[in-house]
Parts: sequence; structure tokens; C-alpha cells
Amino acid sequence: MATEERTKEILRELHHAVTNFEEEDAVKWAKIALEEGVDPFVATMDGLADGMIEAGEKYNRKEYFVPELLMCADALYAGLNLLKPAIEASGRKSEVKGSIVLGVVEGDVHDIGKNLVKLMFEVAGWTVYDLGKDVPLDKFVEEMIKTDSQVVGISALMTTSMLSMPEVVKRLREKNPKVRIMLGGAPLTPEVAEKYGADGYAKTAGTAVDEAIRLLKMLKEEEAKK
Amino acid sequence: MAGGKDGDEKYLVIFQPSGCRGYIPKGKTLKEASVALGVDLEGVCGEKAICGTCKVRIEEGNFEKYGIKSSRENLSAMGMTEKKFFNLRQQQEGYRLACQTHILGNVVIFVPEESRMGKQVVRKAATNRPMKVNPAVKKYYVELPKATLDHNVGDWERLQSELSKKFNLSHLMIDYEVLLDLQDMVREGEWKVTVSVWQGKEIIKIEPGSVEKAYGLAVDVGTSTVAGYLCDLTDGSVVTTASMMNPQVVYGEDVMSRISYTMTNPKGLEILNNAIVDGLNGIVAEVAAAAKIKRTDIVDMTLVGNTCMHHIFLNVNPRYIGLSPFPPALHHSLDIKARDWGLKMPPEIETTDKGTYPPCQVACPAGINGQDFLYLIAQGKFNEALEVVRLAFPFAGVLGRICTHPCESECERGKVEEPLSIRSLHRFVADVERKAWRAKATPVERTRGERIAIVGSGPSGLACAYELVRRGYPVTVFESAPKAGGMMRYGIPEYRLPKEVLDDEISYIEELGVEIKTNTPVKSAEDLFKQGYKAVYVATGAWTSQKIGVPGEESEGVIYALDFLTKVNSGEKVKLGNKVAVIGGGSVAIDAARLSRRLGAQEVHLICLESTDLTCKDRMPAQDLEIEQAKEEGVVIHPCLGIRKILAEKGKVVGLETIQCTSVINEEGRFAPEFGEGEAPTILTDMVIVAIGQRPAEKDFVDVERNPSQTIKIDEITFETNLKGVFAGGDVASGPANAVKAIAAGKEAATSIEFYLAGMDLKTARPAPPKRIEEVPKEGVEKEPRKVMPVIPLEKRMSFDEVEIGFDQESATQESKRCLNCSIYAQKEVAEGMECRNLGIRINPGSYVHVLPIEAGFVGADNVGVLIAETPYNQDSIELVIDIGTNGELILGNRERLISASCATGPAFEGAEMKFGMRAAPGAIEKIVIDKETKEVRFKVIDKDQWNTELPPEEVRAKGICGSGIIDVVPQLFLAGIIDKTGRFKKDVHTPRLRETDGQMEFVIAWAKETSIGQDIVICQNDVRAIQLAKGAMYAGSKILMKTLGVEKLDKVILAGAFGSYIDKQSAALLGLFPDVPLDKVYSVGNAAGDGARMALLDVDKRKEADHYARRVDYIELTLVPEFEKTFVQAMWIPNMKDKFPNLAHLLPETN
Repeated sequence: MATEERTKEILRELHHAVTNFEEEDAVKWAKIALEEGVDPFVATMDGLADGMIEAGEKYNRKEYFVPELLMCADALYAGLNLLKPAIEASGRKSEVKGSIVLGVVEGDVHDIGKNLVKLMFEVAGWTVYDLGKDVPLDKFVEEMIKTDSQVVGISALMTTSMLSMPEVVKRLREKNPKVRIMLGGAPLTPEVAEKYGADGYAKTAGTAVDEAIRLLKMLKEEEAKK
Repeated sequence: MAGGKDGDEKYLVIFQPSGCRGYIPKGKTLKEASVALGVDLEGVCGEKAICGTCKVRIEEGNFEKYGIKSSRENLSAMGMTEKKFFNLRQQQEGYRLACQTHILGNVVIFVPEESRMGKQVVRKAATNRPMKVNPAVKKYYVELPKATLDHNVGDWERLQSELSKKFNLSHLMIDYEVLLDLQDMVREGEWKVTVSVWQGKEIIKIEPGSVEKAYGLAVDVGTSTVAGYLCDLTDGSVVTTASMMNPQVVYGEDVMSRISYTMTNPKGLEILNNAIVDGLNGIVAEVAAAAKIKRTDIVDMTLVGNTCMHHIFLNVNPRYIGLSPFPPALHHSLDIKARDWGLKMPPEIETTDKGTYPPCQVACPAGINGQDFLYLIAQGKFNEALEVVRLAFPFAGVLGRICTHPCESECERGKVEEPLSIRSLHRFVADVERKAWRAKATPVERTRGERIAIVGSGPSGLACAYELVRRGYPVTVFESAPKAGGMMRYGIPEYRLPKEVLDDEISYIEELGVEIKTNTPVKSAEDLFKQGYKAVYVATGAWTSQKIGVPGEESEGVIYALDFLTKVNSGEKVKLGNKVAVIGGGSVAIDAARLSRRLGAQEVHLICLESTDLTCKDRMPAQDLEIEQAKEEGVVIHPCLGIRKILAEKGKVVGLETIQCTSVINEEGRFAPEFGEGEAPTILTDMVIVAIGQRPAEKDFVDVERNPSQTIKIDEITFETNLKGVFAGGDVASGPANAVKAIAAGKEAATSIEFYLAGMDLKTARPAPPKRIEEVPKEGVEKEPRKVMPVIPLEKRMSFDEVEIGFDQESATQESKRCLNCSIYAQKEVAEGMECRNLGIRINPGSYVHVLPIEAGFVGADNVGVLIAETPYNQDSIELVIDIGTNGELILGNRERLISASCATGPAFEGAEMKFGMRAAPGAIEKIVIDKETKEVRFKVIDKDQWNTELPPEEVRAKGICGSGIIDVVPQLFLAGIIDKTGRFKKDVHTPRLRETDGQMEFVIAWAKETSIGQDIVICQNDVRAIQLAKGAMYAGSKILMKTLGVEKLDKVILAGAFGSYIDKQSAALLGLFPDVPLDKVYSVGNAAGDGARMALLDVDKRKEADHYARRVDYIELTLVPEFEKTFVQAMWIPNMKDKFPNLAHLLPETN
């Protein structure tokens, strides 16, 4: 068993490997963690995922851009590939924080932004049901019902495709009045999201998760009141 | 962000076509917003609503791109001062003065061309490419055998047979409307004509005689700029070029926002279509004027544009190309008659003001917008109609009764049967209000400090006061008489103008805030200046009666008309004889005569020099109707007589000895009566009223210079006297005229006073006098007689009751509907021949517009233009053609295979969406160099020859950064080590230029002192990111195309596009806009799309080539290629994350 100090060092290195997008370092330190008996769940959450959260923050601050964030993700997944089997072997179930249906609206094939959002949700421990791009409107509704997700995130990159968002929002609400819907994508603004009837809006992938958590909290508070 | 904490609410304000935008605090004016956002907006008066040059138009509708709804409601209401700058139509279209309009919500503002200070530099010059000349339209000269009795076949057959014989042209068709002209043209040319034949198939124009020159127009409709090249079809030369911002820019900067505009706004497509058709017609007019040809001399036209521009131009719904899989409505090229486009235009949109006005408005000295006013009456909006009159003057009721109505003599309806009763309709709207109950007018807010004195409260003085009080000045009117109104009160009898009407209108002026001091004569201007007045308007009128100068004039019983009228109008008793003779033929004489009848004179004779034949040059100057009414009332008129002598007995008048008058007005149009020796009557009378004119009194204003006739000497345009700050007008300056002219003088003087106080030039700052509409078509107008003004019966005429009763509501409404709405013809240019009815593209109406084909999705006709200009299909080397614009298009390949792709680069390269981005215009930074050691910046501004370092800072006057500067800046920052390869600013670089503002790093390009916007011009982290996205998309697209084609390296890179030729090749390469290639193999070719349009115009074979190759280019949808995302992401680094650049190795830092 690694000493407390050594554990801290290993976690720090895993964190750095992700924030500095060093895939090889991530693999190297994941191996060390396993060899020296660091809890793989702790190594994942407090090492790799913690690094990814910092990367997300850097992205929000514009210090990192899309390429860096994706490279951080590559490092994250490289480490995770080693740690995941060990977590499963330990039988430990990670706590699921929430589930979200994600997709790019019909008529739109630009999905890089949506993929970044997906990544951040996964890192934050959410279950993500990714519908991909050019998603027919009713598919969002079907998936929400099928997976019993409390949050739906819809993205659009064009001012033209964005116009079908109010319709999706309407259909989702008809089936589940309690659903929390967040919108994102380059042509959107908080005002447009509000006008379209959404509950939330996130400008960047990094802020999307916080926004989803805020929406869920609101939902729980409302239910607690009842 | 609409809203915010109390007091600091800000709203989004977007100016187009510059694209400048930002959040502006509530309550600021649009002019203040334009300054804050760096928008070029005219304004010479210092935001005082004097010059009217800062006109802008407020756009209405949903702008999804910005997430706002722009509405006129989001601005402060239009005040009185502002209103006078706009006619009804402009108001309806949403025009405002930027300096007077306060922001209360989100708005999109369009700055029209004439309000823009720095004109846009549109970089779409024609290039020198060799081009073959084999145009679609060719001209043929033929001489036809004359039609004779033995040879009387039809003109068309005659022409056909000659064309066939001489040029072997057979099976020709003829455009229907050309056919209609055929007979006249043939005869006008004395059987010699020149025909324009399109594609060897159809005659599209016939001109008399021999015409060699033929012109064509090639047009490139870009998302941001539109360029037109007028070419000589006989030698292929470019005669002239015109370009403009695409007028659709206001509805969205990129194609996607425009498509969404058509989807979310009713009539959105029509609005966009009209915008571009109008814009193109502007280009047509501009090139024709520059080349000194008629628009109809343009016999052919070609057009390229991206798929969205293409669809909107054709009025084809673009909504499906806005969504994946982006299918266009059609691919094929089209030939459509130029005239056909217009047919879909709804009439209410055909409103481009061409600077001409309805004849009634031009004729009215006070400039009443008769058209708007009549329109509103026809709609039953009487109060609104009255407000239109009040824009011009406050005397609808008074002038509605006594005006000499020059408007009616010019009324175009008069050419159908009779002119409209415009004057009486003024009276009608005034009566409606007065009879109902007029709410007290709201005083105008005083916004100016300078007090103004007006001397005289007649029509001229009060009109001047009214103008100035509405412009915010404190105004005092000095009147020597006990009551205000001048000639309107003391010169006009009650039965023509009831005093209550005048009193009401004067009260209205007082309620607005004009102070009137009666019983207060003023001796000199100097007195007024001493009291603190800053400007003086002298309008004291002409009150001294002219003497007739014949023996007997001093006799008892001879009085002067004005004294007589004044006494009666003041309520004094005047004793009259039984037989009264009035001398004079003007309105004053008629009034004196009719008044005499009412005061009990049994016989009233009116003796005048002039004739009662109201159509001759020597007619009586009084108005027709009053002469008529005077006769009805028993006034006996003795025309064509002069006075030889006034006969008296015992010093008392007994009669008049007359003399025949043979002519009044001489050949030069001057008053020069001639008398004859024929028999002339002696008229017995016991009273003579002399009414032969008045002149100004001599006693007042000794300090102003006078003419020999005692009138004050003035400048005829500015109404300045010889004294600084003293202006004069009305009868005192012009001699006796009429009320409406006096009012016009008062208004002009008000403008002069305002300019004078603002220190502006009184002459050059004045608006040009309005031009009259030349021709108003009257075909199909049914005759409908003018409504007759009802009058009280003759038996009641001997009272002082008003004679004219006025129209009732029904007659007024019907009368106003007779208006021909001449202003319709003012709103568009009325063109030669048939064109006025075909409102499409205004070239030769029978001509075709050839629209080039579309390749696929977003690779549109503009790219086909590039394709046929660059002809990669004729090359062996592998060429990458990059067309850089708001939407980037790529073509790769050679004669073996060509593939294309479209990349959504966004408008970053055009300067939009950048903190200090702007389009190419004076003040734009176009070149940037950053010193590696000192991190100092050298830059060049578009309209300056020197670099900033060679100029004193205050002369640099930078405003923002345009496309070529944007392409320079990122590699320069990178080479200077200020950003790293990922695009991140390095915080450890020490220079005052690098700093953090609002949590974001930024680098100062120009210090505030080097700018005209008063703030540092910076590139911030977000800007760098936007450029990375745009260039990454371009690079990734190129890379995917290379992979698809299976090539490892490029032989040649061609940069095309509006600013393609301005891009620094090295900067573009270092930025990583395209894969590695030797720099000497990078070519900037300028606007190749426009060149392609030109080639297609000049050479029919090029059109075939376009059709052929457009179908052979394989389109690659980049987003469907699995590795696109990865390639794109890697391409965002500078110059690239993975790819190597051996050709740039010597320039890049070693670590790269």
C-alpha cells in the first residue's frame, strides 16, 4: 500500500497527465497506481477526472481550446482504460449523479460541441444517452421516456436548424412536464434559450455540467416543497 | 442582455451594413451608440436635429441569429423636431434621426448609403484576365427595302428576310414587346435598323439606324458585397465597375441567418428578394451613368452567387438549403427575361426614393406634403392629416381659406379634368378639429438657450416662430398692433376668414411656447440684441398704401384700401357713400369692394387695368373664385381701364375719369401698363377706395439696408440682411405678395437662424430644392369632377357670415380620393419605354439574365464562376482553389478529377464577430507586423499610405481590423511569441500591450491615441479562437479533399475571393489556412467569381463550359467524413498540430 503521501503524488501526476494532455504519462501513472495499491476508484475520480474538470475550467477561461480539451480527454481515456477493469473487479459501483439525453437537432450535422458536452458529463459521473447528430425531433422524446432521463440537452450549430428547437421542447414537455431541458450551440444565447422555453443554457462544454446540476437541484427543491 | 440591475439596463444595438454591435445603456441615443460602436454616421449639426444627415432606418422583425426582436417600439417616440425631416412614407418605413432617437430596447439599425461617412471600400476590382469574345448577344445592322404598294409584306417578315439573306440568321423569334416597337423603330431609322440577337435565336432589341456598341453586365452577388462589371460586348473590355454592400446584410450577416430570416418573418423572402433586386438596379443605374449610356443599352447580363444568394435572387425558397442535407432547388443554369423578376414584387415594396416629389408639394412655397395629407383624408384619418399640414405650418384653417393655392395649378389631376380642391381640404381638416374641440397643445421642450426675437406677427413672423419653437428655441414675437395676426387679421375680411379660426391657430402657436407681445413696437435690431436676443427676424409687412398719383387724389372721399380694411377689421365704424369705386384688380381691391357692399354701398364699381379674361397674360391678379363671388354680390367690374383723374367738386369726390389700358405686362413679363386713346367712361361716385398696392413703412428699422422701393434688402436664399444675425422676410422684404409665400419665407429664415446659431454655412448646409416628378401616367383614370365648394345663398351675403361653407366629411373624403398619388412615381425611377411597367432588373427589358449553374449544396454559382475562370479542368498540376468569403469553398484536382467542398468559416475573416473587427473601409487596419524582440506593432490603415509609426498618432485614426489584418495578426502574434501554438496568450510575456481585461487576455494593436474611436484596438483571446475555428475549417476541408483525391502534396494554391488579392500569402501560409506548398506557388487571383461571370458574359462557350463542368465536380460533404472532426481539431493549432510545413521551416520557430 502506498503511503498517504505517495498516493497524493500519484493522484497529482494523474491529474497533471490529463491537464497537460500527456497520454503516455496517464498510462504510466495509472499502472503505478494499480501496482502500488491505490484504490482505482480514487485514482479515477480524484486523479484523472479531477484533471479533466480543471481542463474544463481552463476551457471556460479560454486558456484551452477545443483541440486541447480533446487531447486532455484522450489522456483521460488512456488512463481510464487501465483503471476501469480494476474498478469493475472490485465490484464497486460508482454513484450515478444523473442521466441526460444528448443530441444535435434535425437538419444539423455539426456535433463537435455536443461531443465535448458529452465528455464533460461522463467525467462528472453522469450517464449519457447520446443520440448523435441530425436527430429527428421525436427521437428525443422517445429516448427520454425510454431511459427515464431527467435532463435533455439539445444542440444546434446553425441559425436555420435552431428554429426547430422550440418544437422539440414543446413535445418533450407534453410527455414529461418535469423534464429539464438545456440548449446549447453557437447561434444560441441565454435569451434565445429562454424564448424557446428551455430551462437552461450553457455557453461552453465546461459550464454545461454545472448548469445541469443546477437544473436538477431546482427540480429536487420543487419536489421537496410538494 | 435585456434587463439587468436597476438603472444599468443595456440593450443590444446592431448597425448594418457595418455589422458593428454592442450593448448600450438604456436611454442613450442611436448617435451615441454609433460613436461607441465605431459606426460611420454622418452628422454635421452636433446632434441638434438641424442638419438631418444622420437618417437611419429601424428594421423590424425577428433576428434569430442575435436572438432579438427588433422593433420601432424599442425606441423613443418621434418628436416634432424630428418629424419634419421625414415624409409619411419614410416614417412608415421606420426612418429616424439617430441623434434624436433614444434606445429603449434591442434594435437592428440600417444606415443608408447617404448617411454613411466613410464609404465602404469594396475590394472586388476586375482583374486582367485574357478573355475570348463571343457574346450571347450580337448586334446586326440591316437596311430594309421600304414598304411600297407593290411590296407591302409585314415589317417583321421584311426584317426576317433581310437577316436571313445578309447574316444567314433564320428561324428567329422576336420578343413580344420588341415586336410592339418594331414598326416605329423601322420608320424612325428610315428602314435602317440594328437588331440585337440573343444566342442566334431571338431578337431582344431593335434600334433605329446603325448602333455598333453593345453592353453587358456581369454581376457577382456575394454574401457581403455585390459587384457589377459593365463590359463592352464588342471588344470584351471592362467599361466600368460598381460595387456595394449587399443590401440584405441587415437581415443577417451570413447565409444561414438570412435563410432563418425568411423562415421566421412573414414576407421574409420577398423582403430579401426586393433588397437584392433593388440593389442590382442601383448597380445598373450606377454603371450606366458612369458609362454615359442608357440602362436599356445593357443587352445582356450574367449572374453568379452562392446557392443562397442565387435562390433568393430567383425568389426561390431557400429554406431547404438551410438544413442538412442542403439540397438546392435546382442545379441548372437559367436564362430569364430581365423584366420578369419584377412581376412578383408587391407594390408596397417598390419604394426607393429617387428624389422627386409630387407637383403639389413642389409648387407649395411652404412645402406641404399634399400627397400624404390627401391620403390620410381618404383613409378618414382627419386628425393625422392635420398633423401632416402642421409639419409644414400652423395655419391649416387660415390658409385653407385664403391661400392662393399654387399647388392646385400644378395638380396633375388638372390634366384629366380639374385639379383637386387641395386648399379647401386643408380647411376641412382644420374645421374638423376646431369644431370637435382641440386639446391644448403640449409645450415644446426648450432644448436651446439662444433667445430669438421676431418682429411682426403676420404669417411670416408666426411661421418663423412656429418653426423655431418646435426646434427647441425660446421665441418672442413683437407686435405693434393690439392683436397678433398681421395682414391675416387686419387685411382679410371676416366673411372670408372668421376671426375665431385665426385666433385658434394663433393660440396653438402660443401653447407650443411662443411668447407674443402685442402693442410693442420695435425700433431697431440693436435694441433687441441689447435685451439678449441672439437673432432677429424682421417680418413687419407692407402696410403703407401706394398712392395712385393722379390729380384729385387729395379730395375728401378718397381712402386707401388697407386703412379701410384695418378699420373694419378692428371693429371701427366706417361711413361709406352710396356709390363706391374701388381702384385695383388684386385680392385687396376685391375685398374692399365686397366689404363696401356689405357695409351698405348701393353701387360698387371696381376699376382695374387688367382684363377679366382670366386666361390672358393681363388677367386680374385676384383669384378666380373671389372675382366670381364679387360679381354675384353685385360688384360691377370695369376692366382694362386706367385712372386719368379723380373728379371733385368742392373738394369732395364726384367721379373718375378713366383711360383705356391696352397692355399691362410687357414682353419681359414686367408691370408696364400702356394706355390707348380710345373712348373711356367717366364713372360717377361719391367715394374712391385706392387698392393698387402697398409697401413697407419707412419708420422702423433704420439700421437695415433698404431697396429703393423701401423693401428690406436681403439675400434671396438665406434671408440675411446687411446686419449680422438679422434676417428679414415676408412682404417687408419681397413687397406685397401672399400669405403662403410669407410663410415660406418665415420657414426659410428659421432654417437660416438655426444654421447661423450653430455656426454652419447658411448656403451649403441647406437642403436642395425638391424636384418635381416629370410625368404621371393617366391612362385609365376615369373622369370625376372636382367637388364644388358650397357657399351661403346670395340673400345672406350682405352679412359678415363666412361665404364658403366648407366640405362635409363625405365630399372631403371623395375629393381626396381623386388624388392620382403622384408620389408613387416619385418612389421609383420612371424609365424609358416599357420599363416603367416592368420592375425587375432594369436593363433592356427583352434581355435575358443568365444565372450560372450550381454545383451542389453550398457550392454555388459563384464557385462555378471561379471554376471557369481558373479552369483547373485544363491543368495537369494539382491545384487547390480556395474561395475565401463568409462561406469558404474549395476546389481540388486537375483535368483527371475535380472535387469540391464547402466550409462554414463564418464571418470572422470579414471582420464580424471580432471585438474590433470591421469590413474593409477607411480606418481599417489591413496589415500588421509585430516585432519579435520589442513586441511593438506596426500597422497600416486602408486610406493611409504610411504605416502608423511614420505618422503622428493623432493622424493614424484606426477604427478596427479588417480581413487581411485579421489574417496577419495571428501568425504575427505567434512568431513574436505572444501566443503559443495552441493559440493561447502567454501570460509571462512582458509588454504593456499584453493585459487581462474582464478575465480575458488581450493584446493591444493600436493605442487609443492612434484611433478615431477613442479606445485601444485589441485582439482578445476570443478573437484568436474565432480565427482558429475559421482557418481550421478551411485547412481541414483542404486536407480531406486531398485525402479523397489521394494526393500527398499540392502543386499550386489559388486564393480567390473579395479580399483574396489583399491577403498576405505568407501570413495565410503561416496561419495554416492551407497545407504546405512553396510560397511561390501561392497565387492571389482576386475576385475570380466575378471574373467567371464576366467570361460567361463575353463568351457563350464559357456558359457551356460552366454547365458541363459544374456537373462534373464531385461534391464532398465534409461533415460526413469520419476523420473530419479529428482533422479539424488538429488544424486549429498554428499552423497545425501534426502536419509539417517544410516550405515554411525557415520562418517558423524551431520548437514547432
